Amino acid sequence: MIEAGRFLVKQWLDGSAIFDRQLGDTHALDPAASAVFLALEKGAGERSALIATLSPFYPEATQQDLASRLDDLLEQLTTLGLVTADTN
Amino acid sequence: MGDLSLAELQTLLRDGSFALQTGTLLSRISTQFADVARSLHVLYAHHPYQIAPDFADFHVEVRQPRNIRRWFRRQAEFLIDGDPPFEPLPRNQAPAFLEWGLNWSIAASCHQWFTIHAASLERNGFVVILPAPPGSGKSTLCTALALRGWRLLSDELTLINPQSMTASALARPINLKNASIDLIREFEPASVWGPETYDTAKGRVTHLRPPIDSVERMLETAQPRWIVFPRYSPGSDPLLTPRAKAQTFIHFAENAFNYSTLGETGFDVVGSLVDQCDCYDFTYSRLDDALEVFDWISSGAAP
Repeated sequence: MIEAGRFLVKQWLDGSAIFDRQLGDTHALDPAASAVFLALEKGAGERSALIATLSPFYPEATQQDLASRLDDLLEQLTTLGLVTADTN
Repeated sequence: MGDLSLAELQTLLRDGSFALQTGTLLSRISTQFADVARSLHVLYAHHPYQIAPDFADFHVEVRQPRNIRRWFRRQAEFLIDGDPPFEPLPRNQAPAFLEWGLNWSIAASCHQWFTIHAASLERNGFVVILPAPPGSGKSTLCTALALRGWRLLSDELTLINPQSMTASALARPINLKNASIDLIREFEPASVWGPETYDTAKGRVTHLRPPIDSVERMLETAQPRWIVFPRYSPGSDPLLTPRAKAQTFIHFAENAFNYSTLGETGFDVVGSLVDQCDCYDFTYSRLDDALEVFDWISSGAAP
């Protein structure tokens, strides 16, 4: 999940920049990571919805590949402090 | 300063009453060094000045350090508000030290602007920003453009007003080094130069007097329109390619002097700059080719 109002986002076709208002850090995301982050920010919580968000970036990938890529991206976003695990 | 003789300038510098205006900034300068006075007299011949103003943005001095080393090796130190932010340099580097010290003073304290390590020039009301690491040919290209119809805002510090998103000018001398000096001397034989200094950390360096038009119009701001990352590559044909915006954002965030200091404002400024500018990488080897490409960019014909 993403804390409401914590982040500022600038998005372009080739990626996005995220500013963490709480820590003052800036992060650059590639287009796929950016799409997942924005989907989470808009409240998408279902895994299937996030996989669907990723699919345009990897048109050749199987559902299993996409699920694996999503796990990697979520781990990256969590490591960067952009996303926290929903414990509810 | 055209009405001021070198002797008069030396007197004002010795008693600390001379204040030089560059852009909107006023720097009160003090020095006993005759070569620093000569350098200022040549490089800032067209700039306005004041004598003992009530206020100045900076109070700087270049002097002999008061340490034991001065007895066996002559040195110069730069002070701002009485404090030396740097270690002393060899005495023969004093004129260049003043220029570098003034750059540092602006970058370290003028947070009314978002300040990027980049050159900037204006044409037809729009600004091109040239960010680049050392050795990329940024200053050489900036000089050629300034000598061929582009108005010089700055060769080192691009100043962006966060409210208006306009670029402000400093119109200070252009710092050139090593082979670039000879290249520009050949490119524009009538150009006016300060003293050359050898054996600096950057090699052979000197400063070029900014064109008079750039100085006379230094209070005019203008809208950034293009961001071009130049790269000098010997023997290459000119090549202009669109550059990723997110990548440009990160470069600016990493190379601005006060991105972190400005926090959210810094993020907004870089985001708006990248939004409002076309971004390019530009490889070149010949100045005439580069000038043609920049004419093309400023005509609005670039992709």
